Amino acid sequence: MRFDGLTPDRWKRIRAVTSLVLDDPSNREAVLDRECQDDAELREAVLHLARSYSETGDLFGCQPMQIAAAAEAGFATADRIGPYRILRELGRGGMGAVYLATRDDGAYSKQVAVKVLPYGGRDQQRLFLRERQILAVLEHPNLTRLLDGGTAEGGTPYLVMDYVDGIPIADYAAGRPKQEVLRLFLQACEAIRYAHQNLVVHCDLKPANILVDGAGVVKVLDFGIARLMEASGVHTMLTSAAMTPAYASPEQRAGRPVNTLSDVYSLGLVLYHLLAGRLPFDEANEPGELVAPSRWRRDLRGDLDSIVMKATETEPARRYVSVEQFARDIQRHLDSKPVSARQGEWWYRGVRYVQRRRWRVAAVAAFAVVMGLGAAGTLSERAKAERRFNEVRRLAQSVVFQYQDDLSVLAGSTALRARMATDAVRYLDRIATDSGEDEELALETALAYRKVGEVQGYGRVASLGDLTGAEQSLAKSAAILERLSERHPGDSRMTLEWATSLERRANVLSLEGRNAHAKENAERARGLLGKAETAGAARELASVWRELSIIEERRGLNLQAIEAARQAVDWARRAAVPREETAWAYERMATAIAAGIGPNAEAFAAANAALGLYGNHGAACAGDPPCSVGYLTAVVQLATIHGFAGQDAEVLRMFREREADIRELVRRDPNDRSLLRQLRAAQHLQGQAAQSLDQIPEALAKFRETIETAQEIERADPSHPDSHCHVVLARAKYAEVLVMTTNRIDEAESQLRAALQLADSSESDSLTCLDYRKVTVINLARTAERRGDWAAGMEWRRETVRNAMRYAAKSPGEPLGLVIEAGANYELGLGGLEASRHGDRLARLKEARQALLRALEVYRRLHEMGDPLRNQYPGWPQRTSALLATVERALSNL
Amino acid sequence: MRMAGKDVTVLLRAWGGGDTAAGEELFETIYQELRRMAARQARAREATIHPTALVHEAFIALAAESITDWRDRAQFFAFAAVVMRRLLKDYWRRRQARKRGGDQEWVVFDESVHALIGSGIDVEALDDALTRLAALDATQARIVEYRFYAGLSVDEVAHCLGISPRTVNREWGMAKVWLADQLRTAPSS
Repeated sequence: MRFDGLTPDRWKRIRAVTSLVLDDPSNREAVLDRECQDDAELREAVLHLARSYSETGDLFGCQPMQIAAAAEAGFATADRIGPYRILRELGRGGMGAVYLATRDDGAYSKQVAVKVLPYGGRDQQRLFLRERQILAVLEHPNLTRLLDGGTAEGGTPYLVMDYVDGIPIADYAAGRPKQEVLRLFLQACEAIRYAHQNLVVHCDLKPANILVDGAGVVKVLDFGIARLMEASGVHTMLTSAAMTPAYASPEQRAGRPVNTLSDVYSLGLVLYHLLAGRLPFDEANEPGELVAPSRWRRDLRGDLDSIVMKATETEPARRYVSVEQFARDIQRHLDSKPVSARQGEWWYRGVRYVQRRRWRVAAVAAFAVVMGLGAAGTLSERAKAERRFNEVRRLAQSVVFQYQDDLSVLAGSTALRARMATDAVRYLDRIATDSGEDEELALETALAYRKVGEVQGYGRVASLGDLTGAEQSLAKSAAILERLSERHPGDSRMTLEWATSLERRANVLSLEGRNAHAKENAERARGLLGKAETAGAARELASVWRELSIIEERRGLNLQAIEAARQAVDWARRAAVPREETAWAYERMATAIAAGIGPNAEAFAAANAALGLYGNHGAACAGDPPCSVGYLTAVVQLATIHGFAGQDAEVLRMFREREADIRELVRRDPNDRSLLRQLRAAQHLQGQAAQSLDQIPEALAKFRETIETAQEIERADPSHPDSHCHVVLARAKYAEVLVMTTNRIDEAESQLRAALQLADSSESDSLTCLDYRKVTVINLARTAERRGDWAAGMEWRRETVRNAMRYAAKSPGEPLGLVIEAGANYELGLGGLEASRHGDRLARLKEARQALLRALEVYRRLHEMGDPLRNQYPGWPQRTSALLATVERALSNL
Repeated sequence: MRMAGKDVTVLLRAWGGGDTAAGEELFETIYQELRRMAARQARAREATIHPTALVHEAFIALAAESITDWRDRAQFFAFAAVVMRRLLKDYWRRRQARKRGGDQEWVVFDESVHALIGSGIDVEALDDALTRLAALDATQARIVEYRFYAGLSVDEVAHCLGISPRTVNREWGMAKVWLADQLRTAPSS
């Protein structure tokens, strides 16, 4: 035991000397001689400590020798690297050193920057090379180019880049007028936009990486280096301090995958720094909530505050969707036009809302006044306070529960309802906190939070689509109920309420794409309900199983999804739950089987069982909205299974047979949005079936109807972001039929443009919406290609890849995002090959190859994950490889 | 959220400032809360209980609403490290006792902890070693505690202890060597 029997002072001394050795490893012997002199024990202890020392790795998982060797290799001491002669050192850090160098062999005499990276191991060389190929494509006046790269003696990788003689943008900007700084910043944005368009992410944007040269031109350095370093495997030995710069996005700090939105964040912080002259937090610390830049400079209040804050939202989905939009807002500010960052402010929307709906708002205003008085009252005399307390409580209660339901039938009332409910629950929460341990009140508050959460974003009712808000409300509800349940173990009512909130939360999380988290909540609810001794518990358990089935399916675990659906059906039947819910369980089972195994007899049996609960026709449901919706849902589900089975004629026949039925139901309840949604789904299915059968006029007619119904839903429920998305899909599908089967290209394009504009103006960035946007973009590519505009076609195909990246970024780590990413890259490769036959041969083939390599890389990752969702992309990896071979052949024939 | 008349935030800050009585009070509350949660989950027949998730839940139940500043949050999880350390040691003792026919264990750890236990490391010996390290250098022991038992990031540890991230990394690297040295040679119990 080398370290036994130490005194605190001795241990301190050993560490101090070790620190010196670590700081200056090349002079180890000299340092040891100087510090230890004759103290052989000290020398031995220091050597042992320094040798085994490692900052990274777990407590007992470090591999000391390997790390020490690698760290030493990162610092070149030779006077040349490959064919480059080193002139002087420009800087060094945890990631290696940068040298000013010139080429020795007379090929050219320009000065270049040579970056020497720590040795990453032989296995990583292939990845390193591939990434380098991708980077070499980048060429832009505001970017430094990657000129060369290679492996020096001893296997140390190095990169050669343009040398920029400039100063960091922050130093350059200091003291200059705001307008000038903003224009400078726009140059940087332009470079980053270009790189993102080429699917390269920076990952380490900071003022030191953005230089301004003697001519006032901005140069962004080190693009893609972070990713390149990752590819070469060096991240494993970097200290976390080196990888979490002050400008890193929250997702980067958390070690989650990064994407273009991470660059938007870092860029936002750079702008913050440029404008405010400082960062919102200490460089050494992790940022929490950022304070607005106007805190440091008052003239930034307004637009610039909003722009910077939008770019630096913690939640990536709330940031600007691209650097382009970020830059556009800055430009609009320079042009004194309204900026998009401020449109989300609630008062802005509130003002518009009041303008449109005066009378209904008056009622709410009255309510707010009473609430305000009530709250003020609790602070004054006691008796009065008590009375007002109860008034507030009652009023808040009726606002949340009773008025909610009354208002829910009103078209367009969702936003108003959410706002009312949120205000009311806030009051409840406050008086609950004031009143201390009033459990009944706490229960009311929990149920109110749940109601608010449902209105905000629960998937099964008309909601605002505010998933983040919904998730927070439901988490609060569950937390309160958990506390109450703790105090009353064995109270089955409390347990049931708790489980219900957890189930709602699972639903919302899954809609957000956070399926692992969703599953935790659902499993927990299931555990709580246990054997479900009461009817209410059994009914809830059926819901939980249904939710679990959906979650497992989204995670790519089809067999588990089927099993969960079976359980849902089981419990629904055992507990004699309402017909609609039993039907949902059957429908879930049908879908799960069809998606997991295929549309077999059991899937059809389940779908038919659901429809059978309504007596197979809808006449009996007229005037009963839940029944009408349930019936139409069952019809749509059965038709979906037929669609899966390729029985398109049967789909059309089913709906033709029920046409009168359905028309009557809609006539009786024309304002029921749930019914309209099912109607839209029905029309969409018919359009697709007709399209597959090549019945072009029929398909066009059905998709036309789909557009109209979707627009009707949009009018009835404008505040639900997903309302717009269905219009997007309907237009895109209509245009798809036009572009693929007719010569009405202009009409197709105008539909697609309208769809894209709607998709981009919609606040919703939900997974569904992004999916529909993709349909729009790929059809825009086809439109351009039919016109013979291959360059535009390629650009649109690139856009599908960007769209896919946004999708993947929203549900990081989930397999579905990866499948979509790979598919989009495949489409880009396919388009590139086709386009290369019409000009620009080399560049397009290269781009195709790059895209296909990326697709293969993603498939490899999916394979490492155990091939979840594999029946969603049967044979795609093979097809991608084959296509890549074709592209490689074409390239070698050039 | 109020607890025994005192705000959790206030207690945390007091503890961070060196008030040991506040620490005791917090410890008891959080420890009891964790036991209750674990017992409930055991009743619900959850197969495994993730200790980190437990602490997180305790956080939500006790303090989430009053603690909004990330610094206080870090302080809370730093505190949780103290709790986790004791949980782990408790678990180890019970496990040894069960081998000799003792009572049922009330907390089942997840795979990461089992990996540690399966690696042949004597948890109690580690705990003892850490106590000895604290006698040599209290800050260094704290760093290990925060990083290992609560999974705090370097920056968070730095904040909680009022030192630089660089120092955290250095001390962490050296403490690991010291601990490995102690455990390799410690007599097995």
